[in-house]
Amino acid sequence: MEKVLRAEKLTHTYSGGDPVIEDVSLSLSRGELYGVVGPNGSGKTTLLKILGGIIKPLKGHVEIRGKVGYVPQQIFVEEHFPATVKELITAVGGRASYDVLAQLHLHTIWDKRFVDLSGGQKKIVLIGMALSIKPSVLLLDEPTAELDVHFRKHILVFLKELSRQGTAVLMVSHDINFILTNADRVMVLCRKVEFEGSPTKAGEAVKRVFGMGVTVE
Amino acid sequence: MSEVAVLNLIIVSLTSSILGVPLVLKRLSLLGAGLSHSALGGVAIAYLMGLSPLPTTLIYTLLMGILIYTLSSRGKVSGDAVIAVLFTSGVALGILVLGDHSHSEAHLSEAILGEPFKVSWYDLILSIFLLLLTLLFILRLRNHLTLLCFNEDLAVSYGIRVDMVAYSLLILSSLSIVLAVKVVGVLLASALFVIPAMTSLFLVSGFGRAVLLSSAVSLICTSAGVIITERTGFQPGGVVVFALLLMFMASFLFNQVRSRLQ
Repeated sequence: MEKVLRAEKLTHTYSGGDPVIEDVSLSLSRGELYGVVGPNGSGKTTLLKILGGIIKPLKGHVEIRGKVGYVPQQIFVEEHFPATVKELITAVGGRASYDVLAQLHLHTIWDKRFVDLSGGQKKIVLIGMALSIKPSVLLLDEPTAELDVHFRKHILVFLKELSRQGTAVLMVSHDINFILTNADRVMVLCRKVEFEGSPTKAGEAVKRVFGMGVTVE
Repeated sequence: MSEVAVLNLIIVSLTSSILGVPLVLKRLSLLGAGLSHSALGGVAIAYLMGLSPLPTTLIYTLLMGILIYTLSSRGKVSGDAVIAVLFTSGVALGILVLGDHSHSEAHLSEAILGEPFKVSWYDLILSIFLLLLTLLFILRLRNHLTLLCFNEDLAVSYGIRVDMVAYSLLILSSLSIVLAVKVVGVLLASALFVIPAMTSLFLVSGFGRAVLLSSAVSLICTSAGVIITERTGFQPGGVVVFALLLMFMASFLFNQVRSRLQ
């Protein structure tokens, strides 16, 4: 399978302190659904930001074929932030963004301000912004956080369809069950890589890192 | 007021109101107040060294603006703390140099209250040039600016050179603040940036529309201010800011009523 992302021995510290992540390597193939789980402070978001080009790692390097779409967990904007969904998505992808409209059923909220949307709608818009650049790799930080059952299901179906069409999807989450149930491959991260492989074999590492067992539904 | 002074006041207000929208959205509303007060330091240095006040203050304020953003964006010191330090340093320098000699007190008074009637063609040309630069900046980099104000991390991930956009905004704002200080004084300069921007943000959706409405609010209030000044002889700066405040209050109330009805 064609590799679209390859990261080698990533190490990063903030302000010269202890490493937040150390010697983390991973690769993603086209159409792969990859999950990263780990407790608070395990370096998940830092890893995602490095892969998304937001943070330059102290050591190691990242190679990506094509473009990367980054979806943060949440966006806090000024209460009266005026930008509409249309403005935000076209600001990223230009005219090509109109394809995203149909894909994500954004017609009804196209002219609404981002600040007026619900948590689920905001998440969909952030995914829409990332997709409007037609990425080969989509990075999602806590894709199911603060979403109700309806939106969780909607996003999951959408991500699976996206990976079926060839986009590599990398999700980081606290939601161990969500990741272990839906990812093709998982990484258990706790500063270093504790485990990488099939979700069915991750139980031991999850128990070690989280201090509890998880039953994959 | 002479035609040159009126035109200059309108153009400076217009430029400030355009730049005010991204400044408010980037949570840099206090930057205007900080830079306008620190401009007093520039006036003091110009007086002390016998230099021409406008270019010296322009350079000084520009350097202060770059310093504020560099320190706060690198996370070395929090943004409001940097602004507070430079704000008070500028005022202290101004009082120290200009407030102690009877012949320099006029400079201090002019810097604090502005000198809207002493406008030269040189000032007007500078104001027009800055307005054109600002329009070019907003039109060319509107999408980048929207994303920068939305979320810096996201903007970086889309390959936007956020430092370039942020510093451009900062340089234009610093220059605009110095021209605003000359027209309405240190105390009122930041009002020309923040009040029309906030007024428009209460009323419209869309970044582009917010910039347009902010400009319109500024144009209406400045024109009204000029007419009232002509008839009453009040200081134009105070009248314009008062007109802006009335618009702000009206839009705030309208927004409150609209929110309750929805």
